[in-house]
Amino acid sequence: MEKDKKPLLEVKSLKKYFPVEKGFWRKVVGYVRAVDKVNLYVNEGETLGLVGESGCGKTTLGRCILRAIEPTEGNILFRLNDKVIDITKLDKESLRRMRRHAQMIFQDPYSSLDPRMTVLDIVGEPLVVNNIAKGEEMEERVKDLVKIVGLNVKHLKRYPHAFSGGQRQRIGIARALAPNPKFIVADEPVSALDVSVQAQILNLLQDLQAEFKLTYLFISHDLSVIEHISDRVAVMYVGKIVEMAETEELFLNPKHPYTEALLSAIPIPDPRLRRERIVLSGEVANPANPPSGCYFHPRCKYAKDICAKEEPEWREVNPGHFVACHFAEELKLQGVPA
Amino acid sequence: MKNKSALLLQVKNLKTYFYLDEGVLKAVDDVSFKIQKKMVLGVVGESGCGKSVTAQSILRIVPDPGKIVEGEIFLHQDGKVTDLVKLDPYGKEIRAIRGKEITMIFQEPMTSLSPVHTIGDQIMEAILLHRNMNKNEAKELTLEMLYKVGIPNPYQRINEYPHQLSGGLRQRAMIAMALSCNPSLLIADEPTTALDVTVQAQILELMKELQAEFGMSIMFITHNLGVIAEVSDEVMVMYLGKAVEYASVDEIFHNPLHPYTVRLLRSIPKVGKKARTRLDAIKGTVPLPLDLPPGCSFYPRCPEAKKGLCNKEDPSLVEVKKGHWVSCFLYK
Ligand SMILES: Nc1ncnc2c1ncn2[C@@H]1O[C@H](COP(=O)(O)OP(=O)(O)OP(=O)(O)O)[C@@H](O)[C@H]1O
Ligand SMILES: Nc1ncnc2c1ncn2[C@@H]1O[C@H](COP(=O)(O)OP(=O)(O)OP(=O)(O)O)[C@@H](O)[C@H]1O
Ligand code: SF4
Ligand SMILES: [Mg+2]
Ligand SMILES: [Mg+2]
Repeated sequence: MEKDKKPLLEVKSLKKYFPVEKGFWRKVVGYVRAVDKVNLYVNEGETLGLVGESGCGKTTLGRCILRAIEPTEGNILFRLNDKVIDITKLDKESLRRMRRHAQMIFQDPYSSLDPRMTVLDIVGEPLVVNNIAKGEEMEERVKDLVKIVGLNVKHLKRYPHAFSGGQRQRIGIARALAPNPKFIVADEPVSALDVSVQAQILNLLQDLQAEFKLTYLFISHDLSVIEHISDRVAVMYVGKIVEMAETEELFLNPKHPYTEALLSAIPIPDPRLRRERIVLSGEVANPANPPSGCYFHPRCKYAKDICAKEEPEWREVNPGHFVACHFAEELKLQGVPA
Repeated sequence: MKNKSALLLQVKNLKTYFYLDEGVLKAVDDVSFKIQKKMVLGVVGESGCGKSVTAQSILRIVPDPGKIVEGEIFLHQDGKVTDLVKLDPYGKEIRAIRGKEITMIFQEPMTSLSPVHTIGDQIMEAILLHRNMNKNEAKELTLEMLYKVGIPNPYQRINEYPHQLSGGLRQRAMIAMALSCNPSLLIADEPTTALDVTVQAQILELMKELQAEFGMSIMFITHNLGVIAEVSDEVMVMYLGKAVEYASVDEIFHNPLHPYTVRLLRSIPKVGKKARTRLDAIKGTVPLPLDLPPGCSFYPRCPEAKKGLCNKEDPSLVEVKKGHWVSCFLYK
């Protein structure tokens, strides 16, 4: 696929700290570092996969980027009509106008749709809110959208409960597409679906990307899905991006020990490829009280003294391959069986 | 392959139906399979295909308004054969089997752990109930089990409540409890589905080690084909309450025959394969097993269906090759 290599989105040193409050006076006793100095970029027309385990901060990062929640610190640069704007600096009204260009698809098709709204209302709302279309014109647009995502136009007056999980996800996708956005954050869009339906939705997302030149930030904890859908992948661990590279490079030639462990844990649907695993000891660090130095050091089998003392620098070790590990240049790590 | 061993459980023509206001829901509809001693049977299929109800039927814990309407479930123990279907689901006999001979672990550990008792008390209680041991011996064994499942500081953890443990540790505690009575069959219903991949890998490794040590058979239920390939000796593929294919794990993945198995395998993304191609999705969705039309249950979605045959008659499960069973008219 031909790709324009200009970044559409650039995230710089983004932080989101949630205060931890205690007692009657709700005294702030600490912070959950949900997103901790994240740097990444997404090129126009591509899919950046964001992968990491439960609680590592994927959803918080996705929501911060759209300013659905306020980031604590950092910059979010978005290119619109060849002008770069910093989303963190926008006032309310500019943010509202900006929103139509950046939309979100959610994991849970059951709870993300208002049960009292019909398909027509759900998909039409962003058109009305953004003054794009109303009345009959809106209805025509909704019909188009519903057809595009593979739903029956006869079902416009139905409520979400009358649809299956896969169909509800299609409704969510139609709603996100409605204002004709450039960028979509898809937060675990297939995680709640059965495998056969998952395949249908992944195909749909790819078709839509080609047709409407969409750029995706695709969040998932499923590495097989991430490998399938992404042009590039960013790996997150306790609020930080620890590695980012082109998909093949990351899967075959990982440079961060955590990525290596993640890849080694993927169950491969082929009994002839049963393999020795790197089984990580211990548990994911607590983002309210992370370890010193490299957050991964208590579980890392390559850790040396420096790892507990100094935070590894985020750097480009090969063109387009970014890592934060003290030994990224020296370590010979295992990827997935090719 | 493990060498050929003796039969532990044989399920024959099991039918478990739910009698709902909307009609009869055929959750398990004429399913037969065997589990050999020390073997792992993987049961795979999409949501609602009857995996859990099959497990509930074996343990006789099918909830109302569900009923086993037909079939036999033979448990072989020390030369004795018991048909579990014939037992009173609340009686003494099944209770002696449940929790002792056959134990179960779930996706959600809190299904089997009580929030108001310590981990230690719960495991000890199971041991005291089913094994001939005094309190001290039971406590020793509890500590040993917690240690074996890889829970750090068992002396401290034994006094903790489930909510004090992380998801992965809770899963381990549940496994410790399920194995404390040395069962001959462990039914694992999606035990790793809610876990992160690295924790899932820890639990799968643990289960393999424990199986090598304790020698129990496992019925491993999951919808994850990767996990199935990893753990199973034999695999049963279910679709809409039926076993559509049943064979060794190698046959299922390298010589799948049923169109559903073939499509299911093609529809999943596989790591290491050339990415960014379209997936070969199965059209449509799994319907509810209520008022199904006659014929093969996969007929409406099957690209190879023969009209006039597949939508008229029910295919039956036949052995098309030694140890490889398929229920499809393409193989007769
Ligand atoms: N509103 C909030 N207040 C306080 N802490 C929060 C809030 N939202 C998220 N967190 C914490 O921030 C961290 C990151 O959460 P987040 O939901 O972003 O993770 P995630 O990677 O999306 O996880 P999952 O895979 O489970 O969806 C977690 O420790 C979470 O408990
Ligand atoms: N208690 C119940 N009452 C009514 N119907 C039920 C009940 N339990 C299960 N069913 C139905 O029986 C069928 C088989 O369900 P079962 O739970 O065995 O599926 P499963 O294969 O375990 O699915 P999953 O992967 O979602 O766990 C489904 O159609 C389900 O809706
Ligand atoms: S910096 Fe040290 S602890 Fe962190 S991943 Fe690299 S080797 Fe391991
Ligand atoms: Mg999330
Ligand atoms: Mg189930």
